[in-house]
Amino acid sequence: MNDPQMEAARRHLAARVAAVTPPDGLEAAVMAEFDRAHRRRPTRILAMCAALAASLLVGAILLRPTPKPAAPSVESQAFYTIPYTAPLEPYERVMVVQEQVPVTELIAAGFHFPATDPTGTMRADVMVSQDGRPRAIRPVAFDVSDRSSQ
Amino acid sequence: MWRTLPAFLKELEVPEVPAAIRVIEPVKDSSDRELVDRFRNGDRDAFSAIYQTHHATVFRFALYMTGDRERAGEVTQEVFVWLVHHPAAFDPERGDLPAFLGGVARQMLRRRRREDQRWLPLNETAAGAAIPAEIAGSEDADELWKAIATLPERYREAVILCDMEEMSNEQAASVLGCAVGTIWSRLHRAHELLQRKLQSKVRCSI
Repeated sequence: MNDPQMEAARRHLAARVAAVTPPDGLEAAVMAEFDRAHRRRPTRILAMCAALAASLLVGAILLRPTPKPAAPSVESQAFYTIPYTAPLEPYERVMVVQEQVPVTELIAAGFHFPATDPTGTMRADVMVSQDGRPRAIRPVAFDVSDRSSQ
Repeated sequence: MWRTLPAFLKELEVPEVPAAIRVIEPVKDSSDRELVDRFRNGDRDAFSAIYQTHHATVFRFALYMTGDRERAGEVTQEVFVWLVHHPAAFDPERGDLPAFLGGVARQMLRRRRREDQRWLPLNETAAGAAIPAEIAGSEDADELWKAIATLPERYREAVILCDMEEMSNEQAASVLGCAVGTIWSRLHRAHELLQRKLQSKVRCSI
């Protein structure tokens, strides 16, 4: 655009174009879109917060420490080896059965049992070895019940 | 047989450094940055200020490219609506806001043209060559408008941005997404074509 005539035409054309105004309502439409976009924002934020809270709740439920079942007090009790029996080998498989054991049999096996009623029974876990013989015993209920009551 | 470049330019009557091709250091407008930051935080006044400051540039670019006031208005609206929904898209480190908005406008214009070409008959695609009633004035200016409107798009964009909108080559390169040297060469070629078109018009009128 080195030609003076062309330069003058360029200036004139640029001035004419600069004088053209955009159609009415353009700014209003753009600002309305801005308002619409920003009105939606609180709803979106609320939705996001709700989703976050829900996921945190689910996570807390899933990851909460599960309460361990209270160990029965009897398990803290040790087995008592039945006197005059061979000790168990570490590799030996055993079975524990719970049954009512007559107090007389406990006394006969060599236990010192201060029971007032020798005809009663005691509920106990009995450890039975592979050969089917009882090797140890663990009292479950310390109450000595009468055989006649069962 | 081979002519040297200065001789070639002289023959074309194009100055070695055309007056329209000025290299101006891009100015980082801190107020634009501040406005954009506020706009990103949902400040309505900041967005309004951005619109007030830059909508005319976008509108004029669209008007030059479409030759239609209504369509230019629609493109301008699309650009700013797009900006509303993409507040983080502008990176001040990569250029100034007018250049960024010009680039968005260019994309909008291209999309519209693709859609229009799907429906318009071939002979109506150059409708931009007709000068709008709001712009028609002097004969020279009208001829220049028509000559610019019939340039290939890549040259037309360079002429509009650098000659008509007086952007720097760097800004134009930022709008068009190309190298500054590409702007130089496109302008050079565009000026050649413009001279040829306008001279042929003069010859025809004689």
